Amino acid sequence: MSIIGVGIDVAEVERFGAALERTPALAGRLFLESELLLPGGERRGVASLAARFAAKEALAKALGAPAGLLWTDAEVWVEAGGRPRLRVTGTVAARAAELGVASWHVSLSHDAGIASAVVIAEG
Amino acid sequence: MPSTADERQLLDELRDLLAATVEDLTVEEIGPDSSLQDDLGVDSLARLELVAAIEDRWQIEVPQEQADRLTTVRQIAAHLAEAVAAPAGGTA
Repeated sequence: MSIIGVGIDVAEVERFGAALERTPALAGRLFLESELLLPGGERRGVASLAARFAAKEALAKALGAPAGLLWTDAEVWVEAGGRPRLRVTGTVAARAAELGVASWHVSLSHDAGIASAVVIAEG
Repeated sequence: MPSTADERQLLDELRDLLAATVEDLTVEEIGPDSSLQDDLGVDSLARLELVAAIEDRWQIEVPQEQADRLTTVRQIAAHLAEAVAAPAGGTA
């Protein structure tokens, strides 16, 4: 196994929240419904969404940031133990297959008004 | 120069939308040939918000690949002019 790509990204939580509030359609362009909701059905908080946005940006960087990747073709989901995982479909899965990516690693964090994510693509 | 009155009007509306969408940007700073990234500081989040706002305002769909390739205000206005003129349900 080898590392095919690494991506890192940060998002300012307040700015991200302001963008979602100003342009509600943005959420639908960025996230699947499953990402917008917590397991209990409540709306996910803005810091957590900003971290997921950062994860998708980081994932795109790990894939070389080609044009045409659909944001909703990457999903951040959470294992029972709380560990975040990535699931890719459509345009993102096609690019990953092109590069020989077999598995993903993702780490999310947010503090001091900044959300961040690191993604490693392994093949 | 914009080619049609419709495109000029779209350009004006687009400049207003850009200024309303992108923080710390005024209409006066936005020229028709301004580069979104290099001249106006539009980063990926601002670009995404702009595209979502355009889709909402004009009730059109901007495919992601096309959105990624639009780099100037005039290019977006030209794309909008075509999209708005196209019959609903038309193919790309």
